Amino acid sequence: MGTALGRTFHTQVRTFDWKWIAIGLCVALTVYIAVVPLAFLFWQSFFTPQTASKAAEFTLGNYATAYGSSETLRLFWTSLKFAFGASLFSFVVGTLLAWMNERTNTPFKTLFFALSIIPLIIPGVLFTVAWILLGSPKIGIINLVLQNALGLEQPPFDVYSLWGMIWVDGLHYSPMAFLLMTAAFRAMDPSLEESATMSGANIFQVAWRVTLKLTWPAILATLLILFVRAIESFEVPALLGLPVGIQVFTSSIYQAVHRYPSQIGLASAYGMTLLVITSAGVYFVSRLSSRGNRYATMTGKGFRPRKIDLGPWRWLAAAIFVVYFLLIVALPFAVLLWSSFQKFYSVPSMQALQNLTLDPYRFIFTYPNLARSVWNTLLLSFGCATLIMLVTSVICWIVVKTKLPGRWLLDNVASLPMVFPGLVLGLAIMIFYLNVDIGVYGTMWIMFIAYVTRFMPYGLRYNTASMLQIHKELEESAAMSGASWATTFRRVILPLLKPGLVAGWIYVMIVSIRELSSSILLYSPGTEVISIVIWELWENGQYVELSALGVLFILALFVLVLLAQWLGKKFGVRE
Amino acid sequence: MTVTTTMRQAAAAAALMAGAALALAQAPARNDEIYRYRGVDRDARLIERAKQEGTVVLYTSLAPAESRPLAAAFEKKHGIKVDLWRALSDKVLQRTITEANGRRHAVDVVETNGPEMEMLSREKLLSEFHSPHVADLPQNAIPPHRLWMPDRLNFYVVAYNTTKVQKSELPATYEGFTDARWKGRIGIEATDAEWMATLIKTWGSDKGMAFFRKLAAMKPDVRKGHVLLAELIAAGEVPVGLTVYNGNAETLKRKGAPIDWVPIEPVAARTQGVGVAKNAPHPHAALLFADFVLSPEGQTLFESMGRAPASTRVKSRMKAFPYIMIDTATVLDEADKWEQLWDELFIRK
Amino acid sequence: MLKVEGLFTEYPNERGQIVKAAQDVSFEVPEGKLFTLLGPSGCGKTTTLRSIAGLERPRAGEISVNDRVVYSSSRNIFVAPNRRGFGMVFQSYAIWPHMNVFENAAFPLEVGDLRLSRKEIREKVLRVLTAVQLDQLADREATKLSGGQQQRLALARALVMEPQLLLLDEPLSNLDAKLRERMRFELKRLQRELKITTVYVTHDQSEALALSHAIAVMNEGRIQQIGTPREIYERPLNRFVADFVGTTNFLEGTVLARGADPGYYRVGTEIGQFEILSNEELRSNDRIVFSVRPEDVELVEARPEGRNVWEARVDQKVFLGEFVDFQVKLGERILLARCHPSLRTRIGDAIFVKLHPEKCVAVKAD
Repeated sequence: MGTALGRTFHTQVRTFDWKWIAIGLCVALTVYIAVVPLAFLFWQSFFTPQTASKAAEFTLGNYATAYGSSETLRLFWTSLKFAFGASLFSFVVGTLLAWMNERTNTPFKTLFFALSIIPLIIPGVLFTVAWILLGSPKIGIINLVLQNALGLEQPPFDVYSLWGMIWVDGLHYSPMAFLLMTAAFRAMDPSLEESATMSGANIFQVAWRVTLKLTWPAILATLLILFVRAIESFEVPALLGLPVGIQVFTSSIYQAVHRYPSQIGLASAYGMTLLVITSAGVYFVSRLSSRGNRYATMTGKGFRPRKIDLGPWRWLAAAIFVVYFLLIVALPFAVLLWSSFQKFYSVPSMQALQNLTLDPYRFIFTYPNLARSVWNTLLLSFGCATLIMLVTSVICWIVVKTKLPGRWLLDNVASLPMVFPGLVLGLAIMIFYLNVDIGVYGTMWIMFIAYVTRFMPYGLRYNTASMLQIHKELEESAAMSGASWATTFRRVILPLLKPGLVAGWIYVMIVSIRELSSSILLYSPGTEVISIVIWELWENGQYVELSALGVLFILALFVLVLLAQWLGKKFGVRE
Repeated sequence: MTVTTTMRQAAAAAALMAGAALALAQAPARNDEIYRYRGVDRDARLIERAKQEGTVVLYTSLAPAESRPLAAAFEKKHGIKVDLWRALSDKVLQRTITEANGRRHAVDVVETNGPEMEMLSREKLLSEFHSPHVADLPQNAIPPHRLWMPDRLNFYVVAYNTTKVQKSELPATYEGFTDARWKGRIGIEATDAEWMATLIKTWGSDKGMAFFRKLAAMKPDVRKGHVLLAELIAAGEVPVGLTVYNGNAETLKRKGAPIDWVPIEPVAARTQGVGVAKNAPHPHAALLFADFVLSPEGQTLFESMGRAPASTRVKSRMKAFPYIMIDTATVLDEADKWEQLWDELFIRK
Repeated sequence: MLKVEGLFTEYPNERGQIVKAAQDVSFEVPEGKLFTLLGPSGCGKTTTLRSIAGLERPRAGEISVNDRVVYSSSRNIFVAPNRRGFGMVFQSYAIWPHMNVFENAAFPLEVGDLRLSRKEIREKVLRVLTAVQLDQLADREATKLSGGQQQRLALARALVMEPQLLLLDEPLSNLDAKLRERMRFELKRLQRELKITTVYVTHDQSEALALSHAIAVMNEGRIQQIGTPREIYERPLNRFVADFVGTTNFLEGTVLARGADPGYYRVGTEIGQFEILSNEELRSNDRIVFSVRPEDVELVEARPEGRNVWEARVDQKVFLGEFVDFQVKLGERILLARCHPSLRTRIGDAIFVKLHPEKCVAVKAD
């Protein structure tokens, strides 16, 4: 930045550099988008609920209620255990797979990239229910099969436990770690690993002492986002934890919102804890990034990543792929596929086999407004993913590459929407745009704003992971070649950022398709999205129809990814 | 689907808002007048003016499988378009209140759970209305302020998996389930404090508390969501559910799932209600829709979809047993107390 | 010591097309010698080096070190790079930014099978750091090193495990000119002192000439010529080698007859008859090209004695301090001559050109 900025200070005198407009716009948008709900929630946390009979009053009672009981501490402790477990598990799984995929000659791995994203698109409730049907001690297929085969007295697995929750949630979000770490590995100069190999280090020593140590900032950023997401998750604890009395922090938030009168203030007060955790995490990660050059590993030297020859080990690696694929894709997919041909869900049996029907698919294809929902969803998720990735690339450039004062704050502000439960966020946005009437309420735009707010932090993390690894010299040399900031950004930064950009884009795209908790409040007749349809089916108990929709989803995604890979190969782009 | 369609929808939405703003000037005094009109020409006048309004905006938590046919039947009968917004009851509440606070009066008529209807009443967002069909409703289910009317009933019944449990095995009373042989075979839904409250009030505190302590000692399976509970009973995960909505069990049964339900006394009934918005932009259409829902025609439609209609004029297997109404207002006022007890007994383990 | 035989290495590029990086590459490096692979970028020299390292898996061929076969396609042997025990310095140095100088250099001793004690590691690392004059900076963050220091650290890291073979991939290309010159001597001194067998990859001919015991000039995946620096420079086998190694003048002609001494021939060109040297047997009427280096073009103002003397005219001259570059016109041909600055003939003046026959070397015309 030093030189880049220095240059602009000189040229600025002659011509106004529209770089500042672009940067200003991005910063303004980010701050606006993040601060609106934030300020609202912070403000609310000091007030009693407003009702027709009683106006809102200033109070500190919300904090007293939220943090004055040992109950909160207990829930918080459970939440921490769950979030640590789930985030670590998904991180280990995702990173191992990303490493094998990027760095080794494991067989079938090209196919794997496509398959690995599938779990992301399966709605959380569906994934969890599929696991109930697989791992429940009473009807779980895995348990039944193992008990029969091994003659066990007790079912070997119990999905209704803290470990079960960690397992299901961790598996479901391992693709997120996979995408983040893939981006980080791709951005790394392979000669750093090769020199370790030449020093006599074996594969594991290289991976542990060089690859992982060098991707440390990306690892921390990944762990942070996984952790915060896990601590905010609701579906898995509600469906798997509740039956055995495991309650988490978020359930307090939901209970507060669902009271009458709705205790938004109390929910916000709870939310402040998440806010503090996230802020601390973001601060820590950005401290590391400020020592950025220690980790900047992409130096712009021409390189062709070498695939480590695992030798006979590659069959073990392939076996890990297959097992993972079975666990995370094939088994849940099989459950979905099975139930999508049923009239109601039943455990697979010869008798149930006779009841196969295409009714669920018929139902889905004749679902009213389905085409419109799909179109709205595509429009929203495409626009949202694109805007987020572009804006956050500028934001994270400012955070990582400049020395502007307050850049840490910018990173933090942009990361905070992550911690608010979608429902509360949706509510904040709804109230704001009802009172500040700029004509977005009741249109697609308000959902667009909500999506951008919710997923901006994720886009930022994906970009940051890649940005940390781009060496300053690369843009400095572009600036020295006489390129303007905009040209440098477009021709140098963005292409180098591609691993993170693409992974983030895919991620945001998919989670936008799934987004429900704020959509449900903000959609209007005419702006239905596909997640509303999913939710309606779920609430209606139409699991088999939902399974059919899930199967169609997965197939569509699969075709899409294969198409993208084929195009990529054809036009010589590395994924 | 094209972009133009989306734009047309946006335009329609804008028009809708403009209409809402216009209505604001006239409401609510005029709306109240419309809602309470009892003249002999009421029905004819209502239909004619509702048709002029052309649209009715409905916020409901009724499942699409039921709300869509209901809306379709109304559209077919009167030629008035129903703009349907579907969400969970708490979101219906949230959106209605929030829009009102933001002075955006978009909704005409609300149909959702009793407690949420009660909350809307307390927020002064509903108006008392007159309908000739109110006389057919069970009078003990009508709230004293008459700001909303019950239109459907949901009953807490015992549902069981027919392959895992024989009907003859089932005890005749709830106390029967505290027998040791039911251990590990019974389940409840996670949020049914109002069911417990109603039973304890019916039985008296001593007997009631004794029963629930014994039940808690059985450590019943707790599942979140009534639909999920019914579904898991059908799948065999939970052999018997004590707090199943009979509507949910009935839907599955009609699809051929191995599930059936029996009412065990005392059966607690939850009401669902319908109400018209105080500041409705289409007051005539709103009232006409409420009329339709409460009319024998609408009530019969509910019956045919496996829901228990509130109207006493429509007979239904779904409510062919004695039951007691859950007092919505009390549930609301004593929520903290009962929920705490419920959590203590069943959630924290 | 190092023996590479019939090496073929190919890899698919980003579009999936096969790039033929090394084609039938064979050479031997005797114990303690420095062998250079010289060629333009994309000639396959780095791929050959990486094949020796084990970072690339060749398609065919055999590589052995001291009769230990590390790769053989026919016997299906492939020793993993970390088991070969070679030291390597990368073009980008690949200094690990998360370790300090000492840790970087100690890494090879920690990961190998050596199982050294802490003390032994410390001794060895300090010895090698002293050798590259980094012992004072042992605790410094690796990212805080200058380019030259990074280069020396990379070298230290490669040497610390006392490898049988040292592989250097353009180790000086990232340094500025002055430093490069100094490091060139350093490198040469170290290599000669340690007597470590070294394969050196570079595209810089002066580096190759200065450092090597032997050079292989590569182009388009194939070795064009192997020889001592002097042989390569003075007796280039073909036009590519002559052109790539140093600057030169080419003249085309036809063989007329054998010369007076064995190996010498008379050649007729557009300018006239020359007497030239050829490593290979030539016959009359062969079309040939011969090369003569600018420093071998003698310019004198008074007509000198001997063969290959022509009168020319000074066309251009460039004063370079240590010498003067003259462009002289011989009929329509321009010859480049490098002379002592004492020659002050003015542009346009006549001058005599003398080409010593042993410096006019016939090369293959490709």
